[in-house]
Amino acid sequence: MYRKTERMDDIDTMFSHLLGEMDTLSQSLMPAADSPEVDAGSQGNCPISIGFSDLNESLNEMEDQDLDALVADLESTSDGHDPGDQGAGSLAAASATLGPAWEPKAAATLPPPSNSVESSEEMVEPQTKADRIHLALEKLKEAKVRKLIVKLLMSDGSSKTLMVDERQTVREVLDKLFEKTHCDCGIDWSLCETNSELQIERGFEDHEHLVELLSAWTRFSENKIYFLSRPQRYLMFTEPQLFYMWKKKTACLSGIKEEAKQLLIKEHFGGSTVIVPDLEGKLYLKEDGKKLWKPHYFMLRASGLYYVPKGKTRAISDLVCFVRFEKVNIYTTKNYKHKYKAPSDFCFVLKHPCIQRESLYVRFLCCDDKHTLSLWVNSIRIAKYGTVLFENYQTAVKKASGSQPLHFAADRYNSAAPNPAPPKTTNVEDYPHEPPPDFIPPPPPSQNTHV
Amino acid sequence: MASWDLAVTVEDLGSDAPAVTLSVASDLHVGGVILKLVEKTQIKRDWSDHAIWWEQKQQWLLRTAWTLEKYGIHADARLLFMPQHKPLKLGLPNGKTLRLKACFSRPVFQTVMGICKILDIRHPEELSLLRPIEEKKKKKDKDSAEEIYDLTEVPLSSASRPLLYDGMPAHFADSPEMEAVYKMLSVTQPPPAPEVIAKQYRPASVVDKAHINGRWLDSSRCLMQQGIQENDRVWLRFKYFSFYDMDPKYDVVRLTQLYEQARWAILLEDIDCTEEEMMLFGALQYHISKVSQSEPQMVSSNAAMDDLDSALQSLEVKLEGESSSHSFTSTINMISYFRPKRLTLKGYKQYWFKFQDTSISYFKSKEESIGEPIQQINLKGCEVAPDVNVTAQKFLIRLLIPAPEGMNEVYLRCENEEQYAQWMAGCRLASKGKTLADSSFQNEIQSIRSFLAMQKKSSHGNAPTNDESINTHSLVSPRYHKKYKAKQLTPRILDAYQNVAQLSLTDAVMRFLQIWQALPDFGLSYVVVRFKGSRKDEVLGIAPNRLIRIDLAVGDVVKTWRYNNMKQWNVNWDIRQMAIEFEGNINIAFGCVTADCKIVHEFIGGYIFMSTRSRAKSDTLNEELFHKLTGGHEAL
Repeated sequence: MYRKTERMDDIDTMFSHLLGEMDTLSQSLMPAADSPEVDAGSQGNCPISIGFSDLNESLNEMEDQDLDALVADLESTSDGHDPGDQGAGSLAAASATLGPAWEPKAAATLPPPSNSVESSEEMVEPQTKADRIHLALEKLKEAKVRKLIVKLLMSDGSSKTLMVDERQTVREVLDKLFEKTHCDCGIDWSLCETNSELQIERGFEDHEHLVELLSAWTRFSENKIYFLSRPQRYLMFTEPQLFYMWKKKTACLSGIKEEAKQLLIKEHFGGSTVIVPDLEGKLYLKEDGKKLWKPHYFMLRASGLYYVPKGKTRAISDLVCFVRFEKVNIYTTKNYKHKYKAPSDFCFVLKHPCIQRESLYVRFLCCDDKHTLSLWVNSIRIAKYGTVLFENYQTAVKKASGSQPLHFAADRYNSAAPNPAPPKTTNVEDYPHEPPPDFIPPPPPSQNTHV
Repeated sequence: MASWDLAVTVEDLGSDAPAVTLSVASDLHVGGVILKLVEKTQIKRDWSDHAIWWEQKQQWLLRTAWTLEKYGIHADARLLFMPQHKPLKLGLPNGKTLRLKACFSRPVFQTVMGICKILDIRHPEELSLLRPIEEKKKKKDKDSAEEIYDLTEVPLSSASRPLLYDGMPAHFADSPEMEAVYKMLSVTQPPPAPEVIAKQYRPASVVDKAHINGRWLDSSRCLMQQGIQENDRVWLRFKYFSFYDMDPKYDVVRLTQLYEQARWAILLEDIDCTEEEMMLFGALQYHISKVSQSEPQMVSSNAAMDDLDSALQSLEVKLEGESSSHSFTSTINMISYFRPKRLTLKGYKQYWFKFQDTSISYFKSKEESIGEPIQQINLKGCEVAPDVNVTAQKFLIRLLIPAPEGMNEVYLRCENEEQYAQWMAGCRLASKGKTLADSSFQNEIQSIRSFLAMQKKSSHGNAPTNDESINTHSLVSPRYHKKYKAKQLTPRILDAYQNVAQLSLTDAVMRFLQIWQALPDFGLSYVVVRFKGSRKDEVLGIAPNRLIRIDLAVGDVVKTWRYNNMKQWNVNWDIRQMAIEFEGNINIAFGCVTADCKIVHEFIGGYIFMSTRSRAKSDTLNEELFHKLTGGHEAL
């Protein structure tokens, strides 16, 4: 217990520190109001940066209702997170709770209940000091949140403009778009980035943070984001046999039963380790800086993509690591037969997300046909993202089946405060308790055997 | 009924003592025989563990209500009265030997359950016993010097005693010796000396790997029936590679022993991995051995305290992060270029460098550092690689910094170890998006220092020093002993080490196991078989979810059958052939060459048993089902 008491004292000291820091922080944010970006935002001290195009232009392009929504967004944001007067007020309340003289009345200085989530959070009196620390930390984070105004292109050629803050995942942006577009909320909807210079595209993964992804773009980037349905997005979960039984003929795979699929998913994604498809075969590799493609034997392992640069044996000692997936993303390509004289148009690209132009650090690979390309691209996604990809899929399925009422999400986004616990985690928790049925074990050996 | 003389040897009277002769009738039940026997010996002791073994029939007379007639026992029967639990030398996955009392009268499945209870290993169905590989006679004198941990004093009923507060079973707290045994079981062993690895048997081919599987004991028969005698040595190993419900909180011994088995599988190339993977396994072993020396046990601390700790930690980080006081500066030589311009290589130039948050900035001189830097480079997402040679005093940091046009290559040449450790640590944190204020910064510096120290020592390796420090050859398989000198391995392992250096002991062990389980050949047990109608030997690979057929000529998998398509399987014991029917009228049959067909049958049935386990039923083991699935309908 002694140790714990000491801790608590520490917390007190830290809290007073924290308050001091908050002051400095809010002051340091004030001058930001002079910057033209925020001026255009006109709502005060939210650090908003502009995306890839002119802000005024984007704002002009917005539909009236969207603009209203954006303004509402900004207002609530500044209400909730203004590190100036109100923010300091709410923090003062928080700090007062540490003193012995604290009375519930102090709650009156809390922000107005217009942002429902946050206020409900604070109605419940923080149980422990740890809770209060968490709360204070949240506030601290709020003050520094980066926001982007993003123009998303629809498949019908129209566009939507959204404000996205850096904490929002692609999943959350998709949910927001579901509300705005009244689409079918299916699992195939995705945000897709295109790079016209390299003629590549990539569907963002649902757990990625949109603002972070966009910050890799250059200032005058021609890159675009599309909101569209990509039918093969979760192919590894809807048709797992294509990946985990890829050596079998497609004819025998087509008749596979649903429970056999569920078993495959359980075997490869249900354990403590995600099992990557044991893909291997010939791919064409574009020679550095040349329009020359040479065939090599490639092999996918959980630790990376390997190939046999020379010789013909495929012994483990001949395998050379071609690339590991931690720092590269996988992109599909358009019209590479023409652009790079590729053997086919079924190519994929591995590169660091920051690289936007052709470079020696961009790896170009080419497959024989569309099916092989789909196998490699999706299997590499499994190797790169592992369990997260499966969680994304489960969330997407839940979303599509409408098990989560839409208004819940709506509430969340009209209010400024983030929900500290994303609903995703509960979904993931739920799943393992209802495992797909196991296959029925074969009957014990028949009687006619010799004993 | 006529009475006749029955001679029973009582083991406790000594091997020279004559058999005790009883006058019995055929309708006397076994319990009555035992009662008479005990009275006649006139020894007062606890006989409850004793039972009668019928030598000719190789059978225990465990049904005490059965009469001699029912068992078919006549005066010529050689009967032995002895304890059912006898000492057994158990070779553990970590290479240590343990002496404990195991059950010799029940099916091996139950014997293993009993052993696992004493050792505190959950899910005993995943383990089994193997006959060890015969050791060469030469090593005999060395064997006698081997340390044997003794657990024979553990009372048989002790398994039902409650666990102690830290998860250790109570019987391990009885004495300091017992605690030492628990430590051996629950703490990972230090890396073995390279010579020890080199000396061990290494399978060179898939056929070699198949031979070990002929050594598994039959789970449905008892030890006595399989010729295992008191004080014989057997190996305890994980047999079914389908590990259920791993929980570091309850599985301290289980995880440690599994890690040891996996580590040896990697070191002895029992499972193939690539060079990159080997370096990562090496780095994890290094880290695990280092952390387990400082952390006595894998005891997980109170969850609530953890929360508070992490909250405090992030608070600390936040506060320090805001205060922007975390930066450091020094004079460093730098060279930077874009790869296409590599040919126009210029020499290093000296600048005044400043490290702040996740960026480095450089200035012409210290005096100009108040103004705008020549360049500021954000290291977030960049690649950091060491290029170090302590003896040559070369301390280079190679940075690959992504930019829209490609990667910028920057080399920082540090003056000395200290400067290098600080800047390298900063670069690594920054590449992960962490600032210098992060609590791991000091640890990072420490781990770089210790690795530099390691290189220093291994560079003195020319002289035969008896160095206490880890030789990097201890961390990789002998193939790499030949390929690289210890000195050359150090930077490779260091490179992999940066990604794992911050893991806790438990996390590092779990990571090791995860990477092992993700290897393509993981979980395969091989047997050489002869398919019906085929004239050549082929290899059958048995995995948790499928069977594979490997053509030895091609050396490749030619066929895969999944268990979920299996309709039925059986054994023809007369010709010792296994037949399996799969959906779609696919029938296969094969005889087994390197293992008894009971072993193969048990493997397949065992895996099907493993897949029937579920959370709800996990407390009780359905032993009956196991025997039903693995027994091949052989009379028990």
